[in-house]
Amino acid sequence: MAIGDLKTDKGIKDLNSYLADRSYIEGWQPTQADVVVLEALGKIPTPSNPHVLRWYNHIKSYDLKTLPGERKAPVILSSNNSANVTAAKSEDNDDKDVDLFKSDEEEDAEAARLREERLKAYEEKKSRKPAPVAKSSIVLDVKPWDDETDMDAMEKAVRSIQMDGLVWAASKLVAVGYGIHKFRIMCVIEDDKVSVDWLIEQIESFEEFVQSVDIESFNKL
Amino acid sequence: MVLCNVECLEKISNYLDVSPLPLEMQENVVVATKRESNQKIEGFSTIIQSLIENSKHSDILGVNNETKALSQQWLEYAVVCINYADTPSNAKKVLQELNVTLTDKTYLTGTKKTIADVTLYYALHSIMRELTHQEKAQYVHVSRWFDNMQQEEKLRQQLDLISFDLLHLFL
Repeated sequence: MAIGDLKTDKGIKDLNSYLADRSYIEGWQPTQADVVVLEALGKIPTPSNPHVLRWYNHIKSYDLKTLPGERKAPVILSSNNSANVTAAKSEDNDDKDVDLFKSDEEEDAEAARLREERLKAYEEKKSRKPAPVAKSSIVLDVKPWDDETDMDAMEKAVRSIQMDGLVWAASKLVAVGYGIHKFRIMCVIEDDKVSVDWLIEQIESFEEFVQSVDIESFNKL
Repeated sequence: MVLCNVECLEKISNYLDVSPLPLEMQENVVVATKRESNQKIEGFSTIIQSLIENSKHSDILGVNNETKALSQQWLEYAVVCINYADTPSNAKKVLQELNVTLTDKTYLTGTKKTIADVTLYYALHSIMRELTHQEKAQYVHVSRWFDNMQQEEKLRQQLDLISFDLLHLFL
Protein backbone atom coordinates (compact mmCIF):
# COMPACT_ATOMS: atom_id res chain seq x y z
CA MET A 1 0.00 0.00 0.00
CA ALA A 2 1.33 3.38 -0.92
CA ILE A 3 0.28 6.49 0.90
CA GLY A 4 0.10 9.75 -0.94
CA ASP A 5 0.81 13.22 0.29
CA LEU A 6 -0.01 13.45 3.99
CA LYS A 7 -0.94 17.09 3.56
CA THR A 8 -4.02 16.02 1.61
CA ASP A 9 -7.13 14.48 3.07
CA LYS A 10 -6.77 11.43 0.88
CA GLY A 11 -3.24 10.82 2.14
CA ILE A 12 -4.44 10.88 5.73
CA LYS A 13 -7.33 8.58 4.87
CA ASP A 14 -4.88 6.10 3.33
CA LEU A 15 -2.74 6.29 6.43
CA ASN A 16 -5.86 5.71 8.52
CA SER A 17 -6.71 2.47 6.76
CA TYR A 18 -3.05 1.44 6.80
CA LEU A 19 -2.92 1.83 10.58
CA ALA A 20 -6.25 0.08 11.21
CA ASP A 21 -4.58 -3.26 11.84
CA ARG A 22 -1.07 -2.04 12.64
CA SER A 23 0.33 -0.51 15.78
CA TYR A 24 3.39 1.00 14.12
CA ILE A 25 4.41 2.13 10.65
CA GLU A 26 7.05 -0.59 10.36
CA GLY A 27 7.46 -3.74 12.40
CA TRP A 28 6.34 -4.28 15.95
CA GLN A 29 7.98 -1.44 17.82
CA PRO A 30 8.27 2.32 17.45
CA THR A 31 11.06 3.31 15.06
CA GLN A 32 12.32 6.39 13.30
CA ALA A 33 9.91 5.48 10.50
CA ASP A 34 7.11 6.50 12.86
CA VAL A 35 8.90 9.75 13.59
CA VAL A 36 9.28 10.55 9.88
CA VAL A 37 5.59 9.99 9.23
CA LEU A 38 4.69 11.95 12.36
CA GLU A 39 6.70 14.91 11.11
CA ALA A 40 5.29 14.59 7.62
CA LEU A 41 1.84 14.73 9.16
CA GLY A 42 2.73 17.92 10.98
CA LYS A 43 -0.57 18.48 12.75
CA ILE A 44 -2.80 16.61 15.18
CA PRO A 45 -5.10 14.30 13.20
CA THR A 46 -8.84 14.80 13.46
CA PRO A 47 -11.11 12.30 15.23
CA SER A 48 -12.54 11.33 11.85
CA ASN A 49 -9.35 9.34 11.36
CA PRO A 50 -9.37 7.38 14.63
CA HIS A 51 -6.50 5.03 13.75
CA VAL A 52 -4.16 7.88 12.88
CA LEU A 53 -5.14 9.67 16.08
CA ARG A 54 -4.47 6.61 18.24
CA TRP A 55 -1.11 6.04 16.57
CA TYR A 56 -0.26 9.74 16.88
CA ASN A 57 -0.97 9.80 20.62
CA HIS A 58 1.00 6.61 21.09
CA ILE A 59 4.11 7.81 19.24
CA LYS A 60 3.92 11.21 20.95
CA SER A 61 4.31 9.43 24.30
CA TYR A 62 7.87 8.40 23.38
CA ASP A 63 10.99 10.48 23.36
CA LEU A 64 11.20 10.76 19.59
CA LYS A 65 14.98 11.07 19.40
CA THR A 66 15.69 7.84 21.28
CA LEU A 67 13.66 5.59 19.01
CA PRO A 68 15.71 2.98 17.13
CA GLY A 69 16.12 2.66 13.38
CA GLU A 70 17.50 4.76 10.62
CA ARG A 71 16.00 8.11 9.70
CA LYS A 72 14.63 7.55 6.25
CA ALA A 73 11.29 7.83 4.62
CA PRO A 74 9.44 4.54 5.19
CA VAL A 75 8.60 2.33 2.24
CA ILE A 76 4.91 3.14 2.30
CA LEU A 77 5.53 6.86 1.84
CA SER A 78 8.06 6.66 -0.94
CA SER A 79 6.75 4.19 -3.46
CA ASN A 80 6.61 6.93 -6.11
CA ASN A 81 10.27 7.70 -5.65
CA SER A 82 12.34 4.97 -7.28
CA ALA A 83 15.64 5.90 -5.61
CA ASN A 84 14.12 5.60 -2.18
CA VAL A 85 12.47 2.34 -3.01
CA THR A 86 15.69 0.62 -3.96
CA ALA A 87 17.36 1.89 -0.80
CA ALA A 88 14.48 0.62 1.25
CA LYS A 89 14.54 -2.68 -0.58
CA SER A 90 18.08 -3.51 0.46
CA GLU A 91 17.14 -2.62 4.03
CA ASP A 92 14.17 -4.87 3.90
CA ASN A 93 16.17 -7.95 3.00
CA ASP A 94 17.19 -8.69 6.62
CA ASP A 95 13.63 -9.09 7.80
CA LYS A 96 12.10 -10.46 4.67
CA ASP A 97 10.23 -13.22 6.49
CA VAL A 98 8.40 -10.70 8.64
CA ASP A 99 7.76 -8.13 5.97
CA LEU A 100 6.37 -10.40 3.31
CA PHE A 101 3.58 -7.96 2.64
CA LYS A 102 5.74 -4.96 1.97
CA SER A 103 8.43 -6.59 -0.14
CA ASP A 104 5.70 -8.04 -2.28
CA GLU A 105 4.31 -4.59 -2.76
CA GLU A 106 7.57 -3.23 -4.11
CA GLU A 107 8.30 -6.01 -6.53
CA ASP A 108 4.79 -5.75 -7.80
CA ALA A 109 4.71 -1.97 -7.99
CA GLU A 110 4.63 -2.17 -11.77
CA ALA A 111 1.96 -4.84 -11.76
CA ALA A 112 -0.04 -2.87 -9.21
CA ARG A 113 0.11 0.22 -11.38
CA LEU A 114 -1.08 -1.79 -14.36
CA ARG A 115 -3.90 -3.25 -12.32
CA GLU A 116 -4.89 0.19 -11.06
CA GLU A 117 -5.07 1.42 -14.63
CA ARG A 118 -7.19 -1.50 -15.72
CA LEU A 119 -9.42 -1.05 -12.71
CA LYS A 120 -9.85 2.59 -13.57
CA ALA A 121 -10.69 1.78 -17.18
CA TYR A 122 -13.17 -0.80 -15.97
CA GLU A 123 -14.77 1.63 -13.53
CA GLU A 124 -15.13 4.16 -16.29
CA LYS A 125 -16.73 1.61 -18.56
CA LYS A 126 -19.04 0.57 -15.78
CA SER A 127 -20.07 4.11 -14.93
CA ARG A 128 -21.12 4.73 -18.53
CA LYS A 129 -23.42 1.75 -18.46
CA PRO A 130 -25.28 2.00 -15.18
CA ALA A 131 -26.26 -1.31 -13.65
CA PRO A 132 -29.98 -1.85 -13.08
CA VAL A 133 -30.91 -0.51 -9.66
CA ALA A 134 -33.01 -2.72 -7.44
CA LYS A 135 -36.03 -0.76 -6.26
CA SER A 136 -38.97 -1.59 -4.06
CA SER A 137 -42.33 -0.01 -3.68
CA ILE A 138 -43.63 0.01 -0.14
CA VAL A 139 -46.96 0.98 1.35
CA LEU A 140 -46.64 1.97 4.99
CA ASP A 141 -49.44 2.27 7.55
CA VAL A 142 -48.67 4.90 10.16
CA LYS A 143 -50.96 4.71 13.17
CA PRO A 144 -51.62 7.73 15.37
CA TRP A 145 -52.17 7.67 19.14
CA ASP A 146 -55.85 8.73 19.12
CA ASP A 147 -58.45 10.71 17.20
CA GLU A 148 -56.95 14.02 18.39
CA THR A 149 -53.59 13.48 16.70
CA ASP A 150 -52.92 16.15 14.08
CA MET A 151 -52.83 14.08 10.89
CA ASP A 152 -51.60 16.96 8.71
CA ALA A 153 -48.62 17.53 10.99
CA MET A 154 -47.97 13.82 10.90
CA GLU A 155 -47.91 13.78 7.12
CA LYS A 156 -45.51 16.72 7.08
CA ALA A 157 -43.26 14.99 9.58
CA VAL A 158 -43.18 11.75 7.60
CA ARG A 159 -42.52 13.52 4.32
CA SER A 160 -39.74 15.51 5.98
CA ILE A 161 -37.59 12.37 5.95
CA GLN A 162 -35.45 12.94 2.89
CA MET A 163 -32.56 10.92 1.62
CA ASP A 164 -30.89 9.70 -1.52
CA GLY A 165 -32.82 6.80 -3.01
CA LEU A 166 -36.09 7.54 -1.23
CA VAL A 167 -39.11 8.97 -3.04
CA TRP A 168 -42.44 9.62 -1.32
CA ALA A 169 -45.58 9.08 -3.38
CA ALA A 170 -49.32 9.29 -2.86
CA SER A 171 -50.87 9.12 0.57
CA LYS A 172 -54.36 9.01 2.04
CA LEU A 173 -56.16 8.65 5.31
CA VAL A 174 -57.96 5.40 5.99
CA ALA A 175 -60.68 5.28 8.61
CA VAL A 176 -60.15 2.72 11.31
CA GLY A 177 -63.23 3.48 13.39
CA TYR A 178 -64.30 5.69 16.28
CA GLY A 179 -63.10 8.71 14.32
CA ILE A 180 -59.55 7.42 14.17
CA HIS A 181 -57.73 7.42 10.86
CA LYS A 182 -54.51 5.80 9.92
CA PHE A 183 -52.19 7.42 7.49
CA ARG A 184 -51.28 5.29 4.47
CA ILE A 185 -48.36 6.42 2.34
CA MET A 186 -46.57 4.92 -0.59
CA CYS A 187 -42.88 5.28 -1.26
CA VAL A 188 -40.25 3.93 -3.60
CA ILE A 189 -36.82 3.05 -2.27
CA GLU A 190 -33.59 1.91 -3.83
CA ASP A 191 -32.69 -1.27 -1.99
CA ASP A 192 -28.97 -0.52 -1.83
CA LYS A 193 -29.39 2.96 -0.42
CA VAL A 194 -32.34 2.80 1.95
CA SER A 195 -33.14 0.16 4.55
CA VAL A 196 -36.81 -0.34 5.37
CA ASP A 197 -36.03 -0.95 9.03
CA TRP A 198 -34.18 2.33 9.16
CA LEU A 199 -37.08 4.12 7.50
CA ILE A 200 -39.61 2.70 9.95
CA GLU A 201 -37.36 3.62 12.86
CA GLN A 202 -37.16 7.18 11.55
CA ILE A 203 -40.94 7.46 11.27
CA GLU A 204 -41.46 5.96 14.71
CA SER A 205 -39.09 8.56 16.13
CA PHE A 206 -41.87 11.17 15.70
CA GLU A 207 -43.22 9.96 19.01
CA GLU A 208 -45.69 12.77 19.51
CA PHE A 209 -47.74 11.64 16.47
CA VAL A 210 -46.82 8.08 15.69
CA GLN A 211 -47.82 5.09 17.73
CA SER A 212 -46.59 2.41 15.35
CA VAL A 213 -45.68 1.77 11.73
CA ASP A 214 -46.62 -1.34 9.76
CA ILE A 215 -45.67 -2.44 6.30
CA GLU A 216 -48.93 -2.76 4.37
CA SER A 217 -47.34 -4.14 1.23
CA PHE A 218 -43.84 -4.58 -0.10
CA ASN A 219 -43.19 -5.14 -3.80
CA LYS A 220 -39.94 -5.42 -5.64
CA LEU A 221 -40.08 -3.20 -8.70
CA MET B 1 -13.31 -24.86 32.41
CA VAL B 2 -12.30 -21.28 33.13
CA LEU B 3 -9.76 -19.25 31.22
CA CYS B 4 -7.87 -17.56 34.05
CA ASN B 5 -6.35 -20.83 35.12
CA VAL B 6 -3.19 -22.37 36.50
CA GLU B 7 -1.60 -22.61 33.07
CA CYS B 8 -2.11 -18.91 32.50
CA LEU B 9 -0.50 -18.04 35.84
CA GLU B 10 2.47 -20.31 35.12
CA LYS B 11 3.08 -18.49 31.84
CA ILE B 12 2.92 -15.15 33.63
CA SER B 13 5.45 -16.31 36.23
CA ASN B 14 7.75 -17.41 33.42
CA TYR B 15 7.39 -14.05 31.76
CA LEU B 16 8.17 -12.22 35.00
CA ASP B 17 11.22 -14.45 35.63
CA VAL B 18 9.91 -15.69 38.96
CA SER B 19 9.66 -19.32 39.95
CA PRO B 20 6.01 -20.31 39.83
CA LEU B 21 4.26 -20.83 43.14
CA PRO B 22 2.62 -24.19 43.75
CA LEU B 23 -0.85 -23.69 42.35
CA GLU B 24 -4.09 -25.59 42.57
CA MET B 25 -7.71 -25.03 41.59
CA GLN B 26 -10.33 -24.99 44.31
CA GLU B 27 -13.84 -24.59 42.90
CA ASN B 28 -12.89 -22.22 40.08
CA VAL B 29 -10.59 -20.19 42.32
CA VAL B 30 -6.84 -20.48 41.92
CA VAL B 31 -4.98 -20.89 45.18
CA ALA B 32 -1.22 -20.42 45.52
CA THR B 33 0.90 -21.33 48.48
CA LYS B 34 3.83 -19.11 49.42
CA ARG B 35 6.97 -21.15 49.95
CA GLU B 36 8.53 -19.43 52.95
CA SER B 37 5.48 -18.80 55.06
CA ASN B 38 3.20 -21.57 53.78
CA GLN B 39 0.61 -18.81 53.59
CA LYS B 40 -2.19 -19.27 51.07
CA ILE B 41 -3.00 -16.62 48.48
CA GLU B 42 -6.41 -16.87 46.88
CA GLY B 43 -7.59 -15.38 43.65
CA PHE B 44 -6.14 -14.84 40.21
CA SER B 45 -5.48 -11.12 40.40
CA THR B 46 -4.00 -11.26 43.90
CA ILE B 47 -1.60 -13.99 42.85
CA ILE B 48 -0.46 -11.98 39.85
CA GLN B 49 0.20 -8.97 42.04
CA SER B 50 2.23 -10.99 44.49
CA LEU B 51 4.18 -12.47 41.55
CA ILE B 52 5.02 -8.94 40.42
CA GLU B 53 6.12 -8.01 43.93
CA ASN B 54 8.61 -10.86 43.87
CA SER B 55 9.87 -10.05 40.40
CA LYS B 56 12.29 -7.43 39.16
CA HIS B 57 9.64 -5.93 36.89
CA SER B 58 7.70 -3.82 39.37
CA ASP B 59 6.99 -1.20 36.70
CA ILE B 60 4.93 -3.65 34.65
CA LEU B 61 1.97 -2.84 36.90
CA GLY B 62 2.06 0.69 35.51
CA VAL B 63 4.36 3.68 35.74
CA ASN B 64 2.02 6.11 37.42
CA ASN B 65 -0.99 5.87 39.69
CA GLU B 66 -3.46 6.12 36.85
CA THR B 67 -2.03 3.24 34.83
CA LYS B 68 -1.60 1.21 38.03
CA ALA B 69 -5.26 1.62 38.82
CA LEU B 70 -6.23 0.83 35.23
CA SER B 71 -4.13 -2.32 35.03
CA GLN B 72 -5.59 -3.56 38.32
CA GLN B 73 -9.07 -2.94 37.00
CA TRP B 74 -8.22 -4.93 33.89
CA LEU B 75 -7.02 -7.80 36.07
CA GLU B 76 -10.37 -7.73 37.83
CA TYR B 77 -12.12 -7.60 34.45
CA ALA B 78 -10.12 -10.69 33.46
CA VAL B 79 -11.38 -12.58 36.50
CA VAL B 80 -14.97 -11.40 36.26
CA CYS B 81 -15.57 -11.47 32.50
CA ILE B 82 -12.82 -13.06 30.43
CA ASN B 83 -12.68 -15.98 32.84
CA TYR B 84 -16.01 -17.17 31.48
CA ALA B 85 -15.39 -16.31 27.84
CA ASP B 86 -15.02 -19.99 26.98
CA THR B 87 -18.63 -19.98 25.75
CA PRO B 88 -19.16 -18.32 22.34
CA SER B 89 -21.69 -15.74 23.54
CA ASN B 90 -19.47 -14.54 26.40
CA ALA B 91 -16.44 -14.49 24.14
CA LYS B 92 -18.32 -12.30 21.68
CA LYS B 93 -19.25 -9.85 24.42
CA VAL B 94 -15.72 -9.66 25.75
CA LEU B 95 -14.25 -9.14 22.29
CA GLN B 96 -16.73 -6.38 21.55
CA GLU B 97 -15.90 -4.59 24.79
CA LEU B 98 -12.18 -4.92 24.19
CA ASN B 99 -12.56 -3.75 20.63
CA VAL B 100 -14.20 -0.53 21.82
CA THR B 101 -11.52 0.02 24.45
CA LEU B 102 -8.65 -0.55 22.06
CA THR B 103 -10.06 1.75 19.37
CA ASP B 104 -8.02 4.71 20.54
CA LYS B 105 -5.28 2.95 22.47
CA THR B 106 -2.26 0.91 21.52
CA TYR B 107 -2.18 -0.94 24.82
CA LEU B 108 -5.03 -1.49 27.26
CA THR B 109 -3.91 1.17 29.69
CA GLY B 110 -2.66 3.62 27.09
CA THR B 111 0.77 3.80 25.54
CA LYS B 112 2.78 1.40 27.73
CA LYS B 113 2.54 -2.35 27.99
CA THR B 114 1.40 -3.44 31.43
CA ILE B 115 0.59 -6.66 33.23
CA ALA B 116 -2.98 -6.24 32.01
CA ASP B 117 -1.86 -6.73 28.39
CA VAL B 118 0.28 -9.72 29.35
CA THR B 119 -2.50 -11.38 31.31
CA LEU B 120 -5.16 -10.79 28.68
CA TYR B 121 -2.83 -12.10 26.00
CA TYR B 122 -2.52 -15.44 27.78
CA ALA B 123 -6.18 -15.58 28.74
CA LEU B 124 -7.42 -14.77 25.24
CA HIS B 125 -4.97 -16.88 23.26
CA SER B 126 -7.28 -19.89 23.06
CA ILE B 127 -10.15 -17.66 21.89
CA MET B 128 -8.17 -15.75 19.29
CA ARG B 129 -6.84 -19.00 17.85
CA GLU B 130 -10.37 -20.15 17.03
CA LEU B 131 -11.56 -16.92 15.38
CA THR B 132 -12.35 -16.92 11.67
CA HIS B 133 -10.78 -14.31 9.41
CA GLN B 134 -14.07 -12.46 9.25
CA GLU B 135 -14.20 -12.23 13.02
CA LYS B 136 -10.60 -11.07 13.16
CA ALA B 137 -11.53 -8.28 10.77
CA GLN B 138 -14.64 -7.49 12.79
CA TYR B 139 -12.60 -7.07 15.97
CA VAL B 140 -9.80 -5.31 14.12
CA HIS B 141 -8.59 -3.35 17.15
CA VAL B 142 -8.29 -6.46 19.28
CA SER B 143 -6.51 -8.18 16.39
CA ARG B 144 -4.04 -5.35 16.02
CA TRP B 145 -3.30 -5.32 19.74
CA PHE B 146 -2.98 -9.10 19.90
CA ASP B 147 -0.78 -9.25 16.82
CA ASN B 148 1.51 -6.63 18.28
CA MET B 149 1.67 -8.44 21.64
CA GLN B 150 2.47 -11.84 20.21
CA GLN B 151 5.59 -10.64 18.41
CA GLU B 152 7.53 -10.63 21.67
CA GLU B 153 9.10 -14.08 21.91
CA LYS B 154 9.57 -13.98 25.63
CA LEU B 155 5.87 -13.38 26.04
CA ARG B 156 4.76 -15.94 23.50
CA GLN B 157 6.72 -18.82 25.02
CA GLN B 158 5.41 -22.07 23.49
CA LEU B 159 2.15 -20.60 22.23
CA ASP B 160 1.71 -20.55 18.47
CA LEU B 161 1.85 -17.40 16.43
CA ILE B 162 -1.64 -16.59 15.18
CA SER B 163 -1.92 -15.22 11.67
CA PHE B 164 -3.64 -11.86 11.41
CA ASP B 165 -2.97 -11.34 7.75
CA LEU B 166 -6.28 -9.89 6.65
CA LEU B 167 -5.03 -8.95 3.22
CA HIS B 168 -6.85 -11.65 1.31
CA LEU B 169 -10.16 -10.42 2.69
CA PHE B 170 -9.77 -7.24 0.74
CA LEU B 171 -8.61 -8.67 -2.58
